[in-house]
Amino acid sequence: MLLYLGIFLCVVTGFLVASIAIPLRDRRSGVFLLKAALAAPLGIGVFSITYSAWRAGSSSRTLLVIADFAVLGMLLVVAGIADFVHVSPTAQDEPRISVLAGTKSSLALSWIFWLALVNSVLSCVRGAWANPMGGGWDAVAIWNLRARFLFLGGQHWRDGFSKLIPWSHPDYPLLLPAGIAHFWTYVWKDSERVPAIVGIVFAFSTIALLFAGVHLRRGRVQAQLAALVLMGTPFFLKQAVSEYADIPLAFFFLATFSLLALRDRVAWSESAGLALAGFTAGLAAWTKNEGLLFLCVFLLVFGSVAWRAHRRVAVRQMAWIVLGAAPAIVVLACFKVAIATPGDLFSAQGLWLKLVDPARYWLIFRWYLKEFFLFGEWAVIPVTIILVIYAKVVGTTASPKDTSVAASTLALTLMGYAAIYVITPYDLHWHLRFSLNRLFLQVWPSALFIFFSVVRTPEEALTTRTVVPEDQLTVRADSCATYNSLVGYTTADSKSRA
Amino acid sequence: MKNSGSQTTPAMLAIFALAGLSLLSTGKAAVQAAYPELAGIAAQRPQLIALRNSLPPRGVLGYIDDGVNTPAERQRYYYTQYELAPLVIEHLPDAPLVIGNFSQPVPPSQLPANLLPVHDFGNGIVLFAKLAQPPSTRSK
Repeated sequence: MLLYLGIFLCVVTGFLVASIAIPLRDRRSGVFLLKAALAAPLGIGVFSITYSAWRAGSSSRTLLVIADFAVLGMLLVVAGIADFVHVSPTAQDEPRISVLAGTKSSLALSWIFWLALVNSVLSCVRGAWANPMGGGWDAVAIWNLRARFLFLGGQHWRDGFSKLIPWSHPDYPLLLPAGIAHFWTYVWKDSERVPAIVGIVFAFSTIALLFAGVHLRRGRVQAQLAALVLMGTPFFLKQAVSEYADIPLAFFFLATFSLLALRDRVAWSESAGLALAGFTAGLAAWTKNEGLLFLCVFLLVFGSVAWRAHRRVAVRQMAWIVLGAAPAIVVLACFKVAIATPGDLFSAQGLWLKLVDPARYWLIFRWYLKEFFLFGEWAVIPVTIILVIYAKVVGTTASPKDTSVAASTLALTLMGYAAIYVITPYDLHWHLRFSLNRLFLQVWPSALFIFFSVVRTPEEALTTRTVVPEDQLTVRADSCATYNSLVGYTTADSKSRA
Repeated sequence: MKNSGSQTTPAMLAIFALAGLSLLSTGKAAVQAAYPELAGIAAQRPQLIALRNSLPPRGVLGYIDDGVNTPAERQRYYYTQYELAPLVIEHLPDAPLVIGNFSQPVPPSQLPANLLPVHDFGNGIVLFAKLAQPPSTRSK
């Protein structure tokens, strides 16, 4: 019973956090899906922050429940005030008429989408059921182990950050362990089902967020294709039940970019949208050390782009982002200063020799190239090749400005990862082999969001207007007939549209 | 001048190829959904739970194993720490209580002389007490 209370509090808390920026009264289906996708992960983020603060000063379960209700009440008031103060959302959907609506092609695509979704759910549930402890060693040796120390350790929970077990990475942030331990405190048992469910929730929230983000920008059919490609990435589904932190991190990357790109469409105001994007970027830093790099790069890229556009506005925008990120940054700073041990990747020994060794750069470059082509463990053909061909065939639109911020942030984050590989104290080949695919996975949903924002939608591709001289019209007539039959147009439709 | 849809067939093919390949790939994920990596190690769970029940609620314990440093051996160590948390298991035989986790029976002659077996939990799990001095030294 208490587990259901915990789940309820978590989801409602996350939903209210999203509702501070995105109006409660906005009834658009895409907006509701966006908030629903954000709800559970944001709730887990808030839960982890609350739990960390509670753990630092108390062991009373009652106090934790009271704190949760206090946070919920506060969010309810703030979201209610936001809903009351603002008369209407700042933007509405542009009317979008789909040439595919109601056609056999549209129906077939929907069937493929739902089949893939059912397939993905079944494979994840099956994987989690077979191995609730997690599908890989990081779950046992890092994330769930730390959660057990937090929950079972009582007043001695700091033992879990002992230097005697350095392989468990006592410097890793606590979003996942503290979120899991929070639920365990509700059920008063270290159930393995909890991290398994958290892993699956993050995976399907990522799929839903990608769908909602692309839907709001580019329409439903494009959103279905984007979600299909993500669900069709076997490595993504495999990691979903591994209980690693890479999928949660990927979620917060995607949430940051989606909210940034959609802030003028879904948020009360630009400030509210930016603050929420800042909050998700902060949660990325609270999830994994790579997230801290992401947060710094994001602030740098967004700040420099905004600065070039308008300096005074840039300062205000940056202030909103930092304000949003503040809760996660504060708790992360407390953790790093007071509890975490020094990280294992920054060793001064032999640093200069590594930095000037061209063989290391060449090896990293080759692995990046290889991973670009082999990433995702796709069936038959590598997904990156498929997407390049797809973009070539259907074409692209002009790149929206927010997409360039996202693309630059992702590119620089990947370069930052490469710099860490250059100086890693571990065997470079070993380090690349066991981590690079997961680093690519972290940026994969965001990369798909950018790709499907830039590439033309099926509707745009199928309504290509090629200007043809009158004397060649007879040659083109067959093609027109083929197109009309595919999209379900009748002669009457054509006449009425004309 | 009128419109033509000559590019629509390749576009439609591309859209359905992308969707179809994605669906095919989710099928691959469904087939490969079993994750056997931890199954073998988790076989020690009953013995580790019995061991945990016989240990103090917190503190630092030592740990020894076959000493071959294979991935499987490291995984057994990680799993032992996972099951015994919030106890801290240091991978050295230096604490007053030391956990032995062996893949096969070890002759007493190959064990450190200052470790006295306290209880054999089966499946390679043995609890040792560390003596201040090896038995031979004490008898002198």
